[in-house]
Amino acid sequence: MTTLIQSFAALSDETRLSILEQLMQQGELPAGALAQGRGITAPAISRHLKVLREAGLVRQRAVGTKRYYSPDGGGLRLIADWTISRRAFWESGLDRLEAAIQQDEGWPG
Amino acid sequence: MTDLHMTRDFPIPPERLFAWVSRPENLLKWWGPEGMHVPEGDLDFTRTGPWYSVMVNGDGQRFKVSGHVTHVTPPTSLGFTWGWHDDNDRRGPESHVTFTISEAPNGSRLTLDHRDLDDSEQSQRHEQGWASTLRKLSALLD
Repeated sequence: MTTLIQSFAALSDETRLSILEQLMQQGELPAGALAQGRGITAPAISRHLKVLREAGLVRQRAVGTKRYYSPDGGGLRLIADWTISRRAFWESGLDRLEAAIQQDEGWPG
Repeated sequence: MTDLHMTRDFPIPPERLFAWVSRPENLLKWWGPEGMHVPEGDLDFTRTGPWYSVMVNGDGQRFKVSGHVTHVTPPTSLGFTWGWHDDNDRRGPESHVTFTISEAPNGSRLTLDHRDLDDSEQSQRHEQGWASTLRKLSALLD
């Protein structure tokens, strides 16, 4: 649960959510490309990326002095699992209920 | 946060459907996703009071959920609170589930609502923020 709260906290910010969106659409990018078009400074982008990394949403790869960023599947998977779990639980239960009633009542066709 | 609302029709009268969703021996036949079994629990929605169930999946992982049956009005409605337990048996955030049964053209309709309980303004604000984040995210994950 702690990780989920951290993930949501990290994404409750327009800039950070849009950074993650861009990485999910375009794949790995250097920090410079992420600063472009956002009108924010390099230190500001690093701070946002640090928050995203600590929340397990973004991965960092170093090549010499350059840093490349990509979406971290682990953290995103946690969020996806959490959002579908409730619906999946009941959908699947209701399917079984339907089957059990059908068997019990001898439904035609 | 994420309020869940689902309906499903069954070709049996409301009284019979109510028995399917309230009596322990019937609940055990459909409770939880496919591939899970319920080796342990007190799953009785015919009366108010505490309930819990421990579900185990094919890998032997245990999932415990517990709550309190808050109302039982045969054959139209019943409600209970819901909270998952973590690995240390600490109970997480509480939500509320209601089963509502109404007449349908060829039998009866089950309406299932699973709502979160917010007990403070602050949690409500958080949830609003999360809801919009999740909408964007789920669009991306689709």
